[in-house]
Amino acid sequence: MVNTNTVQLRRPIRIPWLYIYSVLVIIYLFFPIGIIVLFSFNSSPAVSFPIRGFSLRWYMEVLESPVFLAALKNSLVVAVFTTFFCLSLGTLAALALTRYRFRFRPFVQSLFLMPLSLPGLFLGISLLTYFISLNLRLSLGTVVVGHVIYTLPYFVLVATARLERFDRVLEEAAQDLGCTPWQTFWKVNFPIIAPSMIGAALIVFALSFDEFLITFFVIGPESTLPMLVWSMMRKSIDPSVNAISVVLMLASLLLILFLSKVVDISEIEF
Amino acid sequence: MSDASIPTLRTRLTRRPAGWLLFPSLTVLILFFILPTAIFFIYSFLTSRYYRVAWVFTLENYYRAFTTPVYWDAIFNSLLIGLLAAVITTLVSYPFAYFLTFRITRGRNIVLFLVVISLLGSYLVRVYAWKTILGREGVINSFLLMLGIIKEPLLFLLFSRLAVILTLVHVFLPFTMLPILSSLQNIPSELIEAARDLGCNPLQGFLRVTLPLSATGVLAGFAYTFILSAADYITPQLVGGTSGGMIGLSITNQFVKVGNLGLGSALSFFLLFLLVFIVYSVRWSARRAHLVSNA
Repeated sequence: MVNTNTVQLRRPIRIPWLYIYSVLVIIYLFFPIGIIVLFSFNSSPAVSFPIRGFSLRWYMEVLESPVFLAALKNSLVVAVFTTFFCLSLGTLAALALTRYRFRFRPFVQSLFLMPLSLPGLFLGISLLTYFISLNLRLSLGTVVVGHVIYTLPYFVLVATARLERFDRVLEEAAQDLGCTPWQTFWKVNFPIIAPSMIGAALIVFALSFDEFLITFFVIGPESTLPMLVWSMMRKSIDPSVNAISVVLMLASLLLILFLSKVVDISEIEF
Repeated sequence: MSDASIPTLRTRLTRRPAGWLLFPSLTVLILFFILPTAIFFIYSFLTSRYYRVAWVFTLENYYRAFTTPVYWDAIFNSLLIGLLAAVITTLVSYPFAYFLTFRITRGRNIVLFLVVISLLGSYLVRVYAWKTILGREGVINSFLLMLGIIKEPLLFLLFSRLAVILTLVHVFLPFTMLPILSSLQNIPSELIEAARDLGCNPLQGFLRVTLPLSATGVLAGFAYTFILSAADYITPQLVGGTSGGMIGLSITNQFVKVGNLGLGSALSFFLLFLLVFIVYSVRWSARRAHLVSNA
């Protein structure tokens, strides 16, 4: 989708301020993150200048903390299950939405996207009241439910955008050459759509790993990494929260690096 | 798009009904999204005390939500902060997205990559980062003290509306950029060229072609940021302090601290109604002003 030919649009005088402006925006986006990374290596516990010295002390403390490891494990478990459910439910839904015209299609489509435009507060509390009225105990399972509802719209959005561009002639060719529908799916459709589905699944994983607003309401006594960060932020100054934050962001960074290897990022449409 | 449904050589695969493909996801959505929302709504009409509801119908919750000045103030404050955050985010995003689409070719993917990183970089950590930057012993104050520019820490930085808006804009900027970016990228360059050929100057071309064609993305990004920041309950707690409470926090407290589930539900639906109303009003006026193209 990035094929805009701009040669004819260039004004006679280039405007360097647009360039400078964009660099400033990028700095604004990354300055706070840089600060956290910087102070996670500070040997003094205070998050203020001057920086006393370089130290891995907070990382060591974090990696040895059983609370951190338990929260990390919970976060991974939740993200894996969320991704699994989202991938299976979302792929089928995206196929249905892109290939069939049925009566309530616009309605169903907007239903799928609805949780996207609702605040996490609203989704979290509505699930909380639901689980309370069903007398369901809050656990990591209820967190997965919340995360699936929250991530499904993102998955469906990315997946349908890709599937809509799928060239149906390829399917017809395969069938003309004697493929059964099942073979057609596995030999033609699957290899072509798989990278996009994996890309969408990685986004889901990252969103779930980092989710806080819904988790806060439906988690009960367990803890995830964002929940741990939250409880540490609220207590007195604990500098290892910087190190945990860096770990949390590093996880997303790795996922995105992996994502950019699998799919062309500019192809992802929101 | 529509070509997927043109009846050409219909394969057996396409003749299968959409029903079984949709069945699992629709079941999950009905069970865990529609039903919970319905129950949440019903709760707003029930009497409640100490985290429990009695199935007795009442309008008391809405009455209290409408008549208590504290809630009015909090709602007004939230809508104001949400609108400011959304307007600023959109204004900051647009030139950036424009630059990325029309002005650079090399390195575009790297910049896009950076935007996606900051989008998926932890929400909580980014809010917390602003707290450490703006705090009394925070980065800015200690830096200025170290350089001797100030003698006393600047206290207005943290726990102010300014801090809340600065943080919200930072958090939602990438979410606004992406829809604007994709709507700009989908504009056929021939249309802009045609406008120039027909005698438009660059500004006219922008106002009459580019802007209306990208308005869908602008409105989507605006609505997203407005709704999510007006209902945020974390940012006001971490960087807002006591400077004008936001309604998200009042609602959270009803469920976490006070235990008045009915009042909490009524406040939530009151807020949701106002948010949807404002979003649709903005959309409607943009259409009326012919700022949105139907093409």
